[in-house]
Amino acid sequence: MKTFTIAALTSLIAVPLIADESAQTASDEVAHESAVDAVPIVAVEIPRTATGKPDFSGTYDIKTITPLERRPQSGNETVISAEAAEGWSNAVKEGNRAEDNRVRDPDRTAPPKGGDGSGGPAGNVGGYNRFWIDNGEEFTKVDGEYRNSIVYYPENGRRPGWTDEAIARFTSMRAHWRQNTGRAYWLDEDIAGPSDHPEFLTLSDRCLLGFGSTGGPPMLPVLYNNVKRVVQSEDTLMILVEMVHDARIIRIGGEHLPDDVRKWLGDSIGWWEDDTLVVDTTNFNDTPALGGATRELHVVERFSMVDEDTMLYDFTVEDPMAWKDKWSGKYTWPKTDASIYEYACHEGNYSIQGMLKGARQAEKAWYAEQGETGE
Amino acid sequence: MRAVQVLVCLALMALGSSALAHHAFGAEFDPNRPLLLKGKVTKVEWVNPHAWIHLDHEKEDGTTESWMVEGGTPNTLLRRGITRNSLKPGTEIIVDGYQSKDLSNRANGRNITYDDGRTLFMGSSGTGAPRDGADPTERATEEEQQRLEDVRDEEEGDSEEEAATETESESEAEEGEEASEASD
Repeated sequence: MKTFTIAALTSLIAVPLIADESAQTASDEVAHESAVDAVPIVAVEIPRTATGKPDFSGTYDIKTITPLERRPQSGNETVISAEAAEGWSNAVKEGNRAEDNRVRDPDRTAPPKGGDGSGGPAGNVGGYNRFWIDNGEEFTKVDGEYRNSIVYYPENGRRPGWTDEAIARFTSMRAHWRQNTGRAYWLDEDIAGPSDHPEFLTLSDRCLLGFGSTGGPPMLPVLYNNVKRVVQSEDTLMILVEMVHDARIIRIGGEHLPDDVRKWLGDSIGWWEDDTLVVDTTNFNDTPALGGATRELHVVERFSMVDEDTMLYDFTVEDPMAWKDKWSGKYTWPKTDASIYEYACHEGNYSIQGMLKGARQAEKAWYAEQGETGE
Repeated sequence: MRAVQVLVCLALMALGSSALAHHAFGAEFDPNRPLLLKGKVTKVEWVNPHAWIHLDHEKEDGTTESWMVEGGTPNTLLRRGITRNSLKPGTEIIVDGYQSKDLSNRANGRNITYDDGRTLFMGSSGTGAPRDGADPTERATEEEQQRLEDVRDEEEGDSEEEAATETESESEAEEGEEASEASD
């Protein structure tokens, strides 16, 4: 925190246009109008480095209940009224607290045999309860207004349609998807099993990338572990992603690696456009963190500080193998006093051996059913 | 109350593909092996990606059996002021979940509560405040007992509505899975 104060002071010295008292009390509306006019009426204080560049250093908690995509009924409307946003936010808080405080029957029995019907990653066994979840209770605010979606292009706030190639890919994947019944179904069908090899497991299972594009790019809010730590030098911006502890290294002023060098988080280079750091990322491997994307993914991010404690994160995604058009989104990253903790994912990853050993047990049961040993 | 829960559900749904967990629970736990564990905490492994709570399950014949139960990421709890000392050995807990597919004594912490039904860590900063679970002799207050009765009544009365909600939630979760599959 002290470092930040020094950085902020540096910015006051380095920037000729020093904000007056009115800047600190300027309403969001004024700030918004000044941005629209393109001629700033007031200068907003932002932290700066010793050389006068915007200083993004700090810890941010990017959770928000603003969804990635807009509800269709909202059409091209990008904002949600303060009354609606705060009402919704309060309802979420109330619901979360009620769930936190829920008292369950101490004489309850075990859940139903055959599964509890939960879908998705809860996989018919229910996962764990809400207390472990930390996905935000506020809408993101951009230019002083609550946003009803992160995506702002296409104008309907929803990602463009999938390409035919992408649909074919998903259809093939879906054909291999099975509800968890506890049975080694892959032996019935004489296909490769989902846990035949550690590398068949998902990237998040393997502690390689967090789920839901938390490491990105683009970096999106997820169910929990939404804290990012940014460390900046003259030629590098590092973003530490809490989940799985991925670190994005952005080379400011750098050039992209040769096309055949492919990386989990892509290859990121940056340059300054006034007070905005533009980051261009290509060279992804076959499985970027962003759901549905391919090695053709190209992401352009624009980082800018809107005040001392808030960063605006804007991004544009292009992937001709996945989406019919580019799409763009933005939301704000508020700084947090919270600490970012270590994430020793591999050391505590009992789950991966549980999955592999569990698959072997299911196979044994299948062979026993057939009167075979499976040897 | 139900309306609020549905609203929360919708809020989660709105996040769509973001609403995923770190691990695919379906790959780890067996839906055909439901269980209910009751007993004293023996230790807590405060590790990423998921915390594990160990307990001595008290069996009907009076003997005990050691089990470990999977929770979520500890970082979230640390930020809420809960520490490795908040759930002390000796605390009585109840867990309902499913056994792991590898048939070891592991389960998912589908619901973990104190022995009076309160949600684990409920209303506690874990700093020695009353009823933070550190004292296993503490029982539910009258108000909490009433709330428990309300929950029972509500669950009985709303079973149809709940089924509808779960179905809706599930279909959205599957959409999330589709996105997950797409990224794998």
